[in-house]
Amino acid sequence: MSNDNAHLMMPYWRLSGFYFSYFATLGVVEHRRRRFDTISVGTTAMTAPAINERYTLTAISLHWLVALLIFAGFSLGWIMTDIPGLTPTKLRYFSWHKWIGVTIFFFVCLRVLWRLTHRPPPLPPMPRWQRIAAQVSHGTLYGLMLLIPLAGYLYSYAAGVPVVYLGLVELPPLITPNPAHEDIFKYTHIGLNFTMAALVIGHIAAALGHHFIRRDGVLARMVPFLSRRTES
Amino acid sequence: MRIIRWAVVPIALAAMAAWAQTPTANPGTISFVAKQMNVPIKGQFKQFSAQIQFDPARPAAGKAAVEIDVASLDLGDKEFNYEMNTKTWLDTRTYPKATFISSAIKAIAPDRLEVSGKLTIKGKTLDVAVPVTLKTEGRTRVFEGTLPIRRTTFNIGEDEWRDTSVVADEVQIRFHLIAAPQ
Repeated sequence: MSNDNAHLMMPYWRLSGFYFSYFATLGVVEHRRRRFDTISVGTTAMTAPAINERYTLTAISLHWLVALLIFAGFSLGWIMTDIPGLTPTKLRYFSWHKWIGVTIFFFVCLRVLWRLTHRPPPLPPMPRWQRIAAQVSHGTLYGLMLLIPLAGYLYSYAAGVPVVYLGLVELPPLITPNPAHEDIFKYTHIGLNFTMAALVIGHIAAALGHHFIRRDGVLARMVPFLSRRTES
Repeated sequence: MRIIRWAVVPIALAAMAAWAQTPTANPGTISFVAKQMNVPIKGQFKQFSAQIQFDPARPAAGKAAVEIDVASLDLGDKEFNYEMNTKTWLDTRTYPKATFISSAIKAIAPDRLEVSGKLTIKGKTLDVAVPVTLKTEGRTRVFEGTLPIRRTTFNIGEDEWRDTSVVADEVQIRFHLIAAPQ
């Protein structure tokens, strides 16, 4: 039997699982999906050992929004510091970079609050060290997502340049300008960025490893359009 | 050695003359604020001289002359300072001095003056009227105020910088000049 026809041999509850996954991508609210999960667990003991629960829609939206902003902010930071001399484009990029940083800081504060008040979906069975590694790296990422914009912000104010969010609101100076502090914050900002880049690569590698090698549904907890039930 | 020693004398005399011309040891400050996408960028001129003759009883007889050493500009960043000296911005090699020479002083109130005169920056001269606040602190007089200028009028920021969407056209020049009693 060819793989192309595999879905025809699928039991009806799996098809309905796809059906519900489809609606979940359209933004069908959380409780409908949860109700389905309960039903499916009740009717089939044979369901794949993969986990069924997702992060909340709020957590998923914030995760991907912040991911996009981090990617944009990091790239822009890289490009703008490579532009030699002084050009209008360079100054424009500096302003955008700062606005992105402030936005990330704001959304990560929301994420931390949400994370503290909402239990994340359970992990599938995995070795203890992996569980710990996941917890430590997630905690560190949260810390870095707050510290990196903060270090950049302080770097700007140490250099005597206020941050004017979206060119509209001048944000409070937390410190007084000081050329000696400028370099400290600058290298903290850069050092933490490379730390985070390394962690993000590990984060992505782990997510892809779980999805394509382990096929344990870990990635689907954070990706709305992925089927929650992967072949086991 | 002998030549060097003799050269020192006129330099020292010139320095003493310059010292005598400055009103006090602390002549005050001349700074400016430009806006880059609404971000205030502050800078100051570390070297300038100001000669002010002013008698409150006869303000119209007063005179003021300010000469700024443009290359002494400090934006608080080495790279930016370097850029400001280039041809695109202030071209300090061709135009090392910026000056203001008063032509008329008018008293508007006991502590407010309007000083008209010629402002020269980057080789371009413009007639301006500067609002000045007069303060008497002990035996010294302080003249302070803000003069908004349009940088493009003086060709400050050429080529791609003529576009004022990143660096605004208006630049505020702020002065706080301290004059010793005469």
